[in-house]
Amino acid sequence: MKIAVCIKWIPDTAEKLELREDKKWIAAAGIDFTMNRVDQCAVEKAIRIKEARGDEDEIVVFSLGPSEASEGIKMAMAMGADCGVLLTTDEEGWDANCTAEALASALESRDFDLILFGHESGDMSNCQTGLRVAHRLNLPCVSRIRDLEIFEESASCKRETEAGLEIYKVKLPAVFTTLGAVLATPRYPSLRGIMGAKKKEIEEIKVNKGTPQLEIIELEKITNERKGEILGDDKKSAVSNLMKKLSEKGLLKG
Amino acid sequence: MILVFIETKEAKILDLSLKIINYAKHLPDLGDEVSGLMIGEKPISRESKLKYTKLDKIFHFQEEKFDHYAPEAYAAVISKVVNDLSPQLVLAPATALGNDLLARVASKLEVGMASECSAVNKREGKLIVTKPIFGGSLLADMELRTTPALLTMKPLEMEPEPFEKQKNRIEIKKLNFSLPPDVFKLKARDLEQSVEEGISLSKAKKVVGVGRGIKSEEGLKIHQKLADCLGAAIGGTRVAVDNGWIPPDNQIGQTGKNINPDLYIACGISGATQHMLGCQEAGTIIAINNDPHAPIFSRCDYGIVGDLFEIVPEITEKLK
Repeated sequence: MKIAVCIKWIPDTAEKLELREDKKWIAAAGIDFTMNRVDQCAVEKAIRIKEARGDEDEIVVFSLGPSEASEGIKMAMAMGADCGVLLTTDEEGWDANCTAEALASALESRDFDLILFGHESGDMSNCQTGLRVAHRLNLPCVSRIRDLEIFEESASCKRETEAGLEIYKVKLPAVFTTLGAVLATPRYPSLRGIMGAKKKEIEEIKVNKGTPQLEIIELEKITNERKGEILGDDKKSAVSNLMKKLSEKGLLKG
Repeated sequence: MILVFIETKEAKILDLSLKIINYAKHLPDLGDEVSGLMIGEKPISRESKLKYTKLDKIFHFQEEKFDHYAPEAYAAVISKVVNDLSPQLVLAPATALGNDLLARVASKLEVGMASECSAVNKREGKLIVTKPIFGGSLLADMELRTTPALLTMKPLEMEPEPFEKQKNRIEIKKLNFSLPPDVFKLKARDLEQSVEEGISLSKAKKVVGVGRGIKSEEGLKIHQKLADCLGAAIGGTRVAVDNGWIPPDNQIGQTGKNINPDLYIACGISGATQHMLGCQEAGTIIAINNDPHAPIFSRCDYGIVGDLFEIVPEITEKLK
């Protein structure tokens, strides 16, 4: 079985984010980047599927971004993915449609049985890329899934909604966008994994952005309005102050 | 014209959908006509709150195969209606259904979509949507450049108006067209209620959160007592899940759940961003931690610096 996992390399910390002068993106200085956290869960799930089925399966990780985005692929390979494909670009302002177009054309000819995406990116939260790729590849797609089970030619999964869990059975090949911890909590790469990843290959394909449909005009910081008032120096006064506050706010009722 | 996709749950209209209809009525720059679109297995119910909305028209597509969600068939219905009516804007609630459905319609129609928006307006002839990004630490104004433009929304500013029954009957137009059978290939077979132990975390009014500081399963017990006393749900950080103290379903944060209780008591939680993103919509956040420098103290409303194992039982005692 061939499994593709599409991941996004994104700025990690939300507390230190500063805006760039043009306010169209965040200032890169002093910012750590990471693999989008829900994507890490998708990578983990792919590895668990491979482990359960034996070593014949191949896991290929795809990412689109500047050359630094290869760090995300390396992290996935250190966890256990086999190789990676980096769609390289220095252009910014890729919307879900442009990204899906580039990813779909890279995925198209490679005959994957299973394509996984995190259901949402921690930066832009547009929740579209996986669904848009599936449409372009003419493959079925179930979003927000957990409890994914793989059979010979099909997969079963549950899709989490506000009303409950929808149960699906889908013929492979198929695309899934995954939830996080309830699907699989990602492992930390082992030292052996990290060393091993150095020998694994990353293919680079240069891509050009099409015409975006959605474009950032201006960003604004949301100020933290919580004051963090410390309630008293000793246990007794702190707890009694807390009770007073809770009662004032009507939070002690039923 | 603005087309609003109206989501129902067990034949009842979602409050968020009513809010969106209301919101759409206050967008004068975007056309003065607001129509609703409903899709479902059953006829629109007589009790339907729709008669209290100011919709101009409702389009209704009834199909007995829609006993469960059939993503591609739903998307086919909406795409056809959008093609026929040519609305400027299509709005849906930012829910699991709305986000899934509109992304499919956007792909089919090759148009732009923005998810989880809090506002939309027209500025200098451009359609601008506003949405929280980076888990809610930044607000983005973004231009949607296609017509129609698709949006899923959680309008924050818009309080639902007291609903008055409308004088004019809303015109309900039944849609009648056939769908190709292959769009039903992808369909949910069943709907299972999620099994959560105790009080449901995502709906809870009060939540006690646990992190590394509770140290052990033993440590969970005093927090469980506090939760029981408050009538609160238990949630926690990834560390608490990794250690097996709480199940993955109860993880709060970026790879877990987003909660919005009135009260969140974070116990032994340092306040890492990926956790805080999941609880920032809480009304009041209380933090208890023995490290006065823990980042959570700058992200909570009230903090107590001290030993959990002394403070938490003391609070429980006072509550009794």
